[in-house]
Amino acid sequence: MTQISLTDEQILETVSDALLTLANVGYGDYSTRLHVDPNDQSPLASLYAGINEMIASLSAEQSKSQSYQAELEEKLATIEKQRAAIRELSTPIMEVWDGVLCLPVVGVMDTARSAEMTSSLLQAVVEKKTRCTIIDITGIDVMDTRTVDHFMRMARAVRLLGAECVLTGINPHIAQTVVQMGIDLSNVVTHRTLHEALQQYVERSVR
Amino acid sequence: MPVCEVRDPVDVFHVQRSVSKAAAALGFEKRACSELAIVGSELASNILKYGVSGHVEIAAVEDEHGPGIALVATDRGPPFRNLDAAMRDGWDDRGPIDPVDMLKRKGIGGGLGAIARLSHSFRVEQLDGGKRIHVVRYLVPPRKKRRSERTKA
Repeated sequence: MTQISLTDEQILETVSDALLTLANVGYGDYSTRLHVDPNDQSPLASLYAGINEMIASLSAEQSKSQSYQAELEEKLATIEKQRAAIRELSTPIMEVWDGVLCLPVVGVMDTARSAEMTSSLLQAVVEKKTRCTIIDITGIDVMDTRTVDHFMRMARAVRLLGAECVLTGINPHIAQTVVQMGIDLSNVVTHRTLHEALQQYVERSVR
Repeated sequence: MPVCEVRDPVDVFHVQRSVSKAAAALGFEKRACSELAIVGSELASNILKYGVSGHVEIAAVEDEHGPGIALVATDRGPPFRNLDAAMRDGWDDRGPIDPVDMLKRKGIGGGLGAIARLSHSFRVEQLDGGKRIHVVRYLVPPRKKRRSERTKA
């Protein structure tokens, strides 16, 4: 190995070059590289090559973690969208006829869901200038007494807003719960099926 | 039997499904499975609302009342300030809930009451930095529901 002697000035210059590049890396710029003369065998040249290698692998890691982060953020956005979709799907409100809202309820009915339903239904009644709302609970097997009570309150609140409230699809077990609770049902119109309720409303409004 | 972590609103659905599946596997009839799903749902949504995070454990039990299913909900939230108040429908552990707040809070204050009504034994354990609710429902309802068992911690 041939020894190449450098002047102090040259050494200082190379070192300051290296420091400048490292400073760039420190600020997040991974694009700069130190110039290496392939014929140069000096220790400084191999230091340069080492630094370049380090920057290259750092930049690869950096771009990898950036893409992971982007992926993660995208997934989080998807989860947020799905959450909104679940909320919306768990209380679907549709306008099945002019001025008639239908609220089909399926699945497990707990207190949180009944509260959520009330607020979205009352809001929809006002927004859509509804005259009649049909709450169909064919898809519900059981309800706790408190939830049944809340349903009746919801029906009364709908009436306060100037719309009719019709309950349909009550199964025998829920009917028993309602009767056992001694709830006054005179304010609430009930029909066996959604079909019947809608038919009656349409016939009445045609006349 | 599964342990369901509860950290996110979606986990409430997971608890519902796991509970009703486990109940069906233990031989509960369909209606009881649906009622247990409500219990699981209330336990899980209470964890989210008041307990920050926690988990619901589902287990098969067998004691002097026969075979049944146990649901144990543990959370890391503050203890009940007043359990008797929290048990009342339309109340939380401080007192009656303002109807206006009911809409905002996404609850009607009936969760604990529903849990107690739809199960055969209900016990609350106050922990250091959290609380645990033990609920059992038997395949065959015990003759008499002892009140003391339901309300005392």
